[in-house]
Amino acid sequence: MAATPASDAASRVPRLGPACDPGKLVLTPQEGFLLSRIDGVTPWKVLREIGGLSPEEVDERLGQWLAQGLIEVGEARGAAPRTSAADGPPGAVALELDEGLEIDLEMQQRVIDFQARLGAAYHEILGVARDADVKAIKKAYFALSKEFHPDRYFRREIGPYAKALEGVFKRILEAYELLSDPTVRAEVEKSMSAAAGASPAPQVASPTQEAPRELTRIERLRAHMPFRLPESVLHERRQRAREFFDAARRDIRLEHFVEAAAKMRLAIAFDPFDDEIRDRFGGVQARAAEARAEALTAEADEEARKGIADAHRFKDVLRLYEEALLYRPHQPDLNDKAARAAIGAGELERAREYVDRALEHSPEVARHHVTLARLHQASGNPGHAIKAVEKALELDREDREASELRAQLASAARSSRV
Amino acid sequence: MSRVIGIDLGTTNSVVAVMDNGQPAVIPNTGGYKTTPSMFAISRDGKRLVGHLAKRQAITNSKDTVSAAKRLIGRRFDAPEVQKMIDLCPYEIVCGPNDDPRIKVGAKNFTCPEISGIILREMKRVAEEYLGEPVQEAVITVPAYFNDTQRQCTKDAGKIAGLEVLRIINEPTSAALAYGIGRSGDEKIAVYDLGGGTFDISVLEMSEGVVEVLATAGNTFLGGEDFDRRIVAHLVEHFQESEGIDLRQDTMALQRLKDASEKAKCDLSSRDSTEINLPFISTDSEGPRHLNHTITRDKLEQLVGDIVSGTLKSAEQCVRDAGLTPADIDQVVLVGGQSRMPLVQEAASEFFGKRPHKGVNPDEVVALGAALQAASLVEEDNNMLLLDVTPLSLGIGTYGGHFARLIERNTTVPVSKSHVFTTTRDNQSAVKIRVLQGESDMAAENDLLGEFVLSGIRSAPKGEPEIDVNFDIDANGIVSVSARDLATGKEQSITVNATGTLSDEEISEIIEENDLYEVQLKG
Repeated sequence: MAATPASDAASRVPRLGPACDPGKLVLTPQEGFLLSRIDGVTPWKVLREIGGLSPEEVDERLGQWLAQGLIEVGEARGAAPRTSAADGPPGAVALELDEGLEIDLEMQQRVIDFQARLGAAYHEILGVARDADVKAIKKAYFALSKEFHPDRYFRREIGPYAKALEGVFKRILEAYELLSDPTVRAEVEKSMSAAAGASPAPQVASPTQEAPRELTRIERLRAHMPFRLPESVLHERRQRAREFFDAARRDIRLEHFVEAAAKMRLAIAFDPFDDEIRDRFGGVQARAAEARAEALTAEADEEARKGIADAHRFKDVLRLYEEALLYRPHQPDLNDKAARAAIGAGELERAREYVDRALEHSPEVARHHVTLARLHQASGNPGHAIKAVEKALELDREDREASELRAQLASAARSSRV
Repeated sequence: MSRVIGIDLGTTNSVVAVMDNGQPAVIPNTGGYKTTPSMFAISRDGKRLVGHLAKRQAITNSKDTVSAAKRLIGRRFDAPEVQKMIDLCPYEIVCGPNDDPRIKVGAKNFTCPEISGIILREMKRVAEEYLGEPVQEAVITVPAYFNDTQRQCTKDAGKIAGLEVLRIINEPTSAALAYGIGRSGDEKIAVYDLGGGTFDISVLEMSEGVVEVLATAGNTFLGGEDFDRRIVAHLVEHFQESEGIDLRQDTMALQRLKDASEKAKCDLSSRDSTEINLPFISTDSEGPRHLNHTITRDKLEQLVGDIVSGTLKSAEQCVRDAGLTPADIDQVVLVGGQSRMPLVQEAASEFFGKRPHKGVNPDEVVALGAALQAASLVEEDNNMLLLDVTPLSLGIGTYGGHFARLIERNTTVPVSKSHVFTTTRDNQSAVKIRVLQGESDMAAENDLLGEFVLSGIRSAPKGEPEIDVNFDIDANGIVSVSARDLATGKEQSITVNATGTLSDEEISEIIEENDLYEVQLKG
């Protein structure tokens, strides 16, 4: 009779444990995001949907953190606060009575009243009893449609009421659809009543044919309960964001760009709307990426000299150069390095892109032509390769790499002729 | 205030209706006919002919007489349906600059909206003559399964005809409106619409003047003409066996066969057997050859049985989509000339477990409904409301070539739905939103309605950014799609203007040309 522990926990609400210090944790960006959503109000089952990971992965992480004492789970702090009438639902249109419109004043008032109530429970929107049967629901829906369907005011001048009517009708339609669907209605009923006793969590979406339908249902549930987080939680989040941001700035001063970038990401996860953090993040990320790229290239070059370099290594290096390129897409040296990494990784198309950009920007630099030659060589076009390397030598007689490459190509040509 | 009309723009025949003293009525043309063939031709001496005049000379001038343009409108030239038409039609279909099919009539390649526009113009003229006043606005019907492109092209045709198209509504819905007028109480009805070129099945619920579409399904390439084709094939085979001549090589013979088959098919609805006599159908070294053949009703039913069972499959799907069983249906309404066939009536009766409703004229009911909808939109105290649905699912293309549905088919409009998506590559800086319509799980198999790019996504590992994609369909069926990066607030959107339709400039040009032609006629 008793629900299994798993489903018990699912309807409970995780919050950060007293000993939890996210700054000390080693988290992937997704984990960081998930952690940032743990606020003592959002239930486990909703975290499954918005955690940024698959529901199974969320379960795993939360389970781990629970075991490690990083988070605790408890009862919900009461039902999510409903929007008050004064605090209109998102997207509400500001309306005033206006005699000059082609919609009579009585109806205007109806729309204003209805719009204020859009956050109400579905059966209230339709004006039916909680336990009304399908017939009554349909009747109410039809009657309301006649009043609020936009077609009623087809081509009439009704100003802001046009948009308001659409919003009202869509909500009526939503209420009707969900109340007529018996399975969804049951879920809504369960979440409406207080969290007394264990209520089994809704089935988690599994990768079967039913999955898309399940997700839509759960989304609808979420839509019904827009999580209006209490101000205290939002404040707490903003605080954490700032803490991480400050820590990141300290790292920047010490030139620990990679650590700084990780902390910045956490900061953004906690407060995506802080402009300052976001603006700084871009620059820090670029420098972190470049620092890493330089470090790895040096390593890769080292390996190459030792003769152990392999495609995977180059792939990693390429990825980092590409990251840096997002911020400095036209820098010829960066493009050149990326091209060389791409050649090493066997990604000849990409290499072509990068070497073209480098040449576009700095056609007088011999090194880029040598890179192009290497690309041609890797693509099996010795003729083009020779042309490119000769162009490089034209620009710089002294370029050693160019002369070496030309010698290499010439000998290869001779042996193939033989 | 000028009158608004309802037009049933059919594959084979078109009908126009208007409200008269609170009741919809079909408008007859000067010849007294209530239906007008959807045909257009250019005669040998360069005259433009529409409707009955065009049909009359169809046999002798088959190369320059167009019929069933509705089967081509809104499609791409390389679509299988278009290729099928190329094999079967006596007139020439070529590929236009927008990859659309164009029809060569006389010296010109006409676009499909233009052909339909010419027919709509004729219906407009019929209405104006009867009413004695100009008509500028109309509601036009299309098959329920027409996609967005096909609907927009039909709207373009209306524009070309000089009509402001208030709304495009589905044929079976329109029929339901006409059926429901004056009826009270709650009913669930199924509308089985088998016309000349298309088959539609819809399940609707009606109550106190509100008509709600529950589900709709069908096949835009299945209709009475397919029945005719089976008979033609049978006759051709028979003639090949007995005379050793392949009549398929002779377009004039084919045209005669087609006409005779159609007539025989209609005859067999009231008789058990009929004779087909086509003297001088062909010649060979020994002189002229004649075709004389008797077809029985049984034989006909044998030839077309699978087409009819195909319609029942769609009916089953539709009833299921509506969340009902055939037993839940209170009334079955048959629409379209082909539904007069006894086999069709029996099949429908058996499937739904009840005899179809006989009180509506299957040829006229769609136009009547269109007139009703037109009136409900423009009149002040109208007590009718149509809750229509979007017939095909809408969504976007996702990684791996999949199709993510945002709005399921048979969702009532107006509607808005959104879903959060994310990136699939690390540091992906832009997402391309491809707006698709259709039922396949693979994006490539659905229709592309439009696309746009949302860029400026902050550098982040894959799976981190949150892109909120919102689909909105307004009461007029216009689709708008927007994508918003929840982290940056950056947003991009489009209002779908189907690819493959004519631009405003092209339409203006065509209208000018047609106007000029009209002046020439009068002058």
